[in-house]
Amino acid sequence: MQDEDKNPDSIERLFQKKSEEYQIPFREEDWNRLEKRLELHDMQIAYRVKFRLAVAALILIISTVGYVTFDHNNRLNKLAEQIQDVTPQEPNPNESSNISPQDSPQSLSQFSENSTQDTDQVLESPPNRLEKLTLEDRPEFAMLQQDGDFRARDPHLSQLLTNLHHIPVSPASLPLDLPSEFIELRLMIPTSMFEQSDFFTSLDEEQSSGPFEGAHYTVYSENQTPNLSLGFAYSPDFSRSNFSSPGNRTGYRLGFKGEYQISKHLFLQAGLLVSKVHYTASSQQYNPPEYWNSGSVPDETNAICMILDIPIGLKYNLLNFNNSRFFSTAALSSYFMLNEEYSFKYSTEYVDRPENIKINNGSKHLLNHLNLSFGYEYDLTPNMTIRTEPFIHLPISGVGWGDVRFYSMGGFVSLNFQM
Amino acid sequence: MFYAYGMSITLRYANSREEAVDILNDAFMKVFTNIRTYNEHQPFKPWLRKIIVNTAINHYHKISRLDKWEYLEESNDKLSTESMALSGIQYDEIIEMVQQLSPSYRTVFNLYVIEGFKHEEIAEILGISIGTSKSNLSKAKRNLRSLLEKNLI
Repeated sequence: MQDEDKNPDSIERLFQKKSEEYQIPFREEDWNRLEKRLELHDMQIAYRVKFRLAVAALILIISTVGYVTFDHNNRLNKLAEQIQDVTPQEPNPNESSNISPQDSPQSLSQFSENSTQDTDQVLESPPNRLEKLTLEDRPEFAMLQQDGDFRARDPHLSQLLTNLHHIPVSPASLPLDLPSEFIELRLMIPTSMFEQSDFFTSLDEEQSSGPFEGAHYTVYSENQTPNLSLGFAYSPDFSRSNFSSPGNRTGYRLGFKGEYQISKHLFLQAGLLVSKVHYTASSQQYNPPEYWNSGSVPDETNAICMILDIPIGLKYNLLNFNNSRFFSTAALSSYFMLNEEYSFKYSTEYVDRPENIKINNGSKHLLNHLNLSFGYEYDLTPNMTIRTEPFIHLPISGVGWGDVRFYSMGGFVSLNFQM
Repeated sequence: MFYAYGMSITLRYANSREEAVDILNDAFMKVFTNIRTYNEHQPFKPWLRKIIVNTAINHYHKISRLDKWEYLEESNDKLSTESMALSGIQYDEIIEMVQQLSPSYRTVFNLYVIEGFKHEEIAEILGISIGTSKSNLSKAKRNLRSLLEKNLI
């Protein structure tokens, strides 16, 4: 290289020497810019920590509820199995169809002794089969009516019966002359354990005739469960171009959600929501068409997007209580861009740089966000429920004119009406 | 102290003072976020210089993709260095001349002349061939001689 020049070292020596003679005055504005970046960096760290904590909490909640649900179902399956497997010690054909106190030679205490062992087996033996259950097959229950204070006599039996509420039963299958206390027992066998829907019969009315005249039942029937519901939902929207980016203004999601029950725990969901999304994207995350920027890359882009969000997915009821339930959903959202507004910030001076732009081209992004949520639903009335549903939307691909992948978080509150 | 030192480096790699400040801020951000990796038994200034130069090189890679600027690419004008009153040139003027070079010439010139890298190292750092590095250095010097000549007239 040095051979190519007549006197190459003179230039090099000049610049080497002059580069050490710098006297550059300090500018306050330069430091202010750096301070802003440091503050931004601190905020990113704080958001990252918060997000990780939120994810950890969510995982913990889902794991706990999942475990409780699994354990709950296991116990109920075992209980049902035990009930199914219990047969009279000395089968009497006369007892199997119509048991009366006079027909029963066994006392409650005898039954209690058996039931103690049975109850223990319930908790220990795994279920392996399930058949249709009716109280008609349970003559020993008829003996209960001989002693109204059976709960006090045998805590094991009491526990067994306490756990056995909400079982749907047929009036014809109930033994005659049961005490009202037993009739009002709500056996707790989960409806999912019974595969034949015709097993369930509505009894939510006062019986006007027959052996249960005057008694009032509250027995839930599968046939009564509405298959379709419609809800009005609202949520604040916290969108980020990445999990560590700082917060922006809060948007919203507002609209309708409907669901159709396709099995006892599974629902097909769809919705129509208008979303206002705010997010900030860095130069690396914002990718407008190449013809637009002509070399001037904004360091920061603030976006306000109106989006028509059409999610479709599944909802699964994880854990059912008397009047409430926990559920989780998974869905894919299609985004239809209604309006997009972008404003740009630059750290370097560019000539003729654009400051903002409005886009209204109605771009469509089909099934490009994965929605996950976990929620709690409470029955306000038999036909109306209220839900809270924290959610997270994960991008599958970029959205809008800037082709930005952004995440959304929030929590839906919705009122749902059974149709 | 370190501001002026950092600026003296970034000004030679940037097109303007604003761009130099951006590069310096990027470098300081790296310093602040990676301060744990600094070995306190070693002198700080070389560590800082290394970060600043690396940041400037990263900046070069970034703008090279969007390089739509018109720079003084090559001049056939010859400068008689023997006749120059080199000592009279101010630091600001030197920086201004360097900034008029295209980023590719300027970066090779800085790395070779000021930072002391060899052409093999420069080629590896910038992702160019050794021949390109030598060629860019030669053209950078030629352009600087031309600029010096014009300044002295």
